Amino acid sequence: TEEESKVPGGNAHLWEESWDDDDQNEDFSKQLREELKKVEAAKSSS
Amino acid sequence: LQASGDDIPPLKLFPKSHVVTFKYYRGVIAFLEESYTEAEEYLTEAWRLCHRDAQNNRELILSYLIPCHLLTTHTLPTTNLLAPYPRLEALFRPLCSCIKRGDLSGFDAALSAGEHEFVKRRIYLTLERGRDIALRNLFRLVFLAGGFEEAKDGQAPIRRTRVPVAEFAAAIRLGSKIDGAARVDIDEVECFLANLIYKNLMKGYIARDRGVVVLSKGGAFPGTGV
Repeated sequence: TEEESKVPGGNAHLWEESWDDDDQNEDFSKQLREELKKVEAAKSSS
Repeated sequence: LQASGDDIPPLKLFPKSHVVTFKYYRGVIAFLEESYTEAEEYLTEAWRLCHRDAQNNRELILSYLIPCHLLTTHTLPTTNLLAPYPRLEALFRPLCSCIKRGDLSGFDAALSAGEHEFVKRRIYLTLERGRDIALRNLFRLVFLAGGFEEAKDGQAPIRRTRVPVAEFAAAIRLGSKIDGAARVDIDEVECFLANLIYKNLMKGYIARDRGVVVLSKGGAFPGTGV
């Protein structure tokens, strides 16, 4: 990235992106769907 | 300091160790004045010039450079960077991994766990702003979980850009581990969304009448590859 190129050799790879790579994605979307279901259920029961 | 700038001889005439100290303090001053871009410049120079065996000094520089970097570039220190400094590792690593995962409750816990030390080093308020990044990452996951729209023939598939506010609300419940009984206020979620959009961490608008967030087709989350 731009930031790394500013820092001279030996100091490269000091910083990493602040977002996770997409490997845990599936897990999250599963959890999210579960949560959405709960929200729906709460709505219809009230 | 600025005013006397012309009266001091050129920096290169001073021994390197003095230059490092000078840059460090200028960086810290800029940091405390919340001029983070300037602070980053000075601290990076100090870091670069600092002798590799001056562990303590390098640790001091990093303790400001890391929060600074988080705000200016939204990036986090790598494991390599923190490894030689166990104290910093203990302070920053939990925060950083929560930011990465979009784990809001974990972030709050890590922030209050380190509160004493963070306040003492005067980086608490700066780190607190990292919560926005954690939130951005959480919402980014919602966007990714939305998958793709039906591809029009011959064209590359496009991610679903209309995301119901309810999905973001659900993500906040997940991220802040609110239990089943409590509801997340939709207005509050819209407020979070509007905030991120205002801060340019997210690109799009809220269609309130339809309860949907319409995200930009190109780079809905600037700088994160989607």
